[in-house]
Amino acid sequence: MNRDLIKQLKSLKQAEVKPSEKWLQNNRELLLSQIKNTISPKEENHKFSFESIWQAMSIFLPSSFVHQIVRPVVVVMLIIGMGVGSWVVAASASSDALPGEWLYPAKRVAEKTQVTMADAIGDKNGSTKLHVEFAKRRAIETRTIIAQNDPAKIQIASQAISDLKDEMQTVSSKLEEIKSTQDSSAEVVQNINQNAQEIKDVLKEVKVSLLANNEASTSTNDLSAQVSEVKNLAKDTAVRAVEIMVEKHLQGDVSVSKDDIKQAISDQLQSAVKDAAESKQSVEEVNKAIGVVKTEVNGLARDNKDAASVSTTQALSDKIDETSKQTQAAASSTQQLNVEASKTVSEGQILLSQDNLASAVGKIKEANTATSQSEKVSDDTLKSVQNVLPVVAVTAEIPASSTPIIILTTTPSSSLSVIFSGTSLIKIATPTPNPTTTVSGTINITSTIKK
Amino acid sequence: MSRNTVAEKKLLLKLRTKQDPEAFAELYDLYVKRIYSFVFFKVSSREEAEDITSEIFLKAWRYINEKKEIESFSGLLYRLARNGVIDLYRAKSKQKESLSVDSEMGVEVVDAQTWKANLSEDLENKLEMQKIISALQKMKEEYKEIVTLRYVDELEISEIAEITGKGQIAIRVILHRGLKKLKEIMTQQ
Repeated sequence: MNRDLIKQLKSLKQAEVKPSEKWLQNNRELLLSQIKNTISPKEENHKFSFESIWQAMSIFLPSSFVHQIVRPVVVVMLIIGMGVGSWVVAASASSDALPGEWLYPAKRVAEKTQVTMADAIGDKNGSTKLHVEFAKRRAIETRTIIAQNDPAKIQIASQAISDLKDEMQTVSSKLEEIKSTQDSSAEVVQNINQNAQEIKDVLKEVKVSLLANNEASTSTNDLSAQVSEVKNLAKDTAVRAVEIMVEKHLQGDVSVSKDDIKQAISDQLQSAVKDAAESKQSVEEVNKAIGVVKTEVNGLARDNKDAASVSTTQALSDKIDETSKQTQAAASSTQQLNVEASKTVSEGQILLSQDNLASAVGKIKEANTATSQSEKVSDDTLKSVQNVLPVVAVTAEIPASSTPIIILTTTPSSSLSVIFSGTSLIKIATPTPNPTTTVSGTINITSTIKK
Repeated sequence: MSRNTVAEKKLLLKLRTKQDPEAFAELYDLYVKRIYSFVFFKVSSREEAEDITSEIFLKAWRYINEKKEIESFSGLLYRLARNGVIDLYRAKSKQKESLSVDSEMGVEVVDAQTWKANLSEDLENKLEMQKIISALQKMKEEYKEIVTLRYVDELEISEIAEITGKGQIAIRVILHRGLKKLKEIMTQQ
């Protein structure tokens, strides 16, 4: 009955009276002209504002919904957003922080959170990439600290290197995991390879800085050894990454192209031959320098009439004779290793051109063995030279064309002999009491300056 | 049938944020006939209905530009229409002492006549309509207004609440009672 009644009521609508079309039209025009007069002139470009959002919400949603639900929710979201936002700001501000700075712990916590998140969602590749990225950060941090040349920060640098070592070990173990799992792609391995190479290069710079800093203390020597160790670890990781890339490729993984793999192998081969050559170069320079020092000190010993200093000079002369023999041996040894590495690398390049990737990787390893030996000889030589002449600093491992070799030596009578070669900036450091002096110019290798 | 269409809301938003006269013109086209007929049934004179309708839209424009809260545009128009009609009655009652105190009731008689005058030629339908109009005439003004707004003008409960200034629950109760009363009157006839 109710339905019928409503239907009847609705039928009354049919009786609606229509206004005349003429009036409708006239009234419309009149209305428009009236309202146009009331509009205040406004800027044409209506800017987006929160006010418009509220307007839209209050029009499209019931006002009770907007007031009781939307507004509280927005407020809560803003509060959460501000909390998270400030954290993000702190974390991003800390991304440039160095070990020892107050924001550094925040940086590390942020990194750990990232890794934990990646692990939690089971993103193995993401987690590995993060570890690699963080390892690289540690390396760069170390480089920055060492570049500051602050003896007080040696301990901090040592900690950074130790953290880097941990990260590299994690990356190595991840690499082995990737090798054993089928679904992990070679692309991650490629990422590891590239970053490990970069880490290696950064650490190489760290070593050079350490040598050039002229602070031959036990702690820097230890740090240098630590850096060498991690550098070798990075090198091994890079080689292992290439090896796994090749394996994955042979298993049919196409995420990294063959050309890219070949390029990676080629890069490593070249890097090995370069390293061997640099070691050889640095030992040769030291050898030459020691030779000159030897002549000079012998001359001093001969000329010295002062009975007290004769024995000292003589003792120094003997020591230098001995070291000179060592450096000569080292020079021939690094020469030999360099030849060996070059030969291996050429063989590797040939294998690579024949698309024999697996054997080419074998050659990288072989060449790296020679390079590592060569580096070891070079390091040992520098160390023994520094034992004789505590202020000897050799800017080794830098192409000789751009940077000269620098050797400083002092006798107790504070006579200073400097022997250097090359054409660019030359650094002279005296242990006591004079401050560091800098000289530049082109001087023949056999030149000797007496002060 | 919901009048709160998305299109209407879009127009309203445009109006609110950009003060766009064209958007208002579109809304005018959408509602002018309904409002006119709503007013016409209350005032029964073309001239008065036209004047009040024009006034309603102008007031609506001002209302929107003052950024007052609007639940629905149609609700606003009907409320303005209702107020416009009431204002007219008041003015008339002042002029004509002879008009009864329940001025609206007096107008309603004309109202019903207008309806009857506009009925279709279909005899059976016409009879039924006359019957329901007579029944409506006998109802309390409050019931009659809300039943008409709901079923003849087909407004939403929320819109009627806005127009009359009553709560939605009250409107539902009045509708329920009004329909019951209408049914009683119909069966008595």
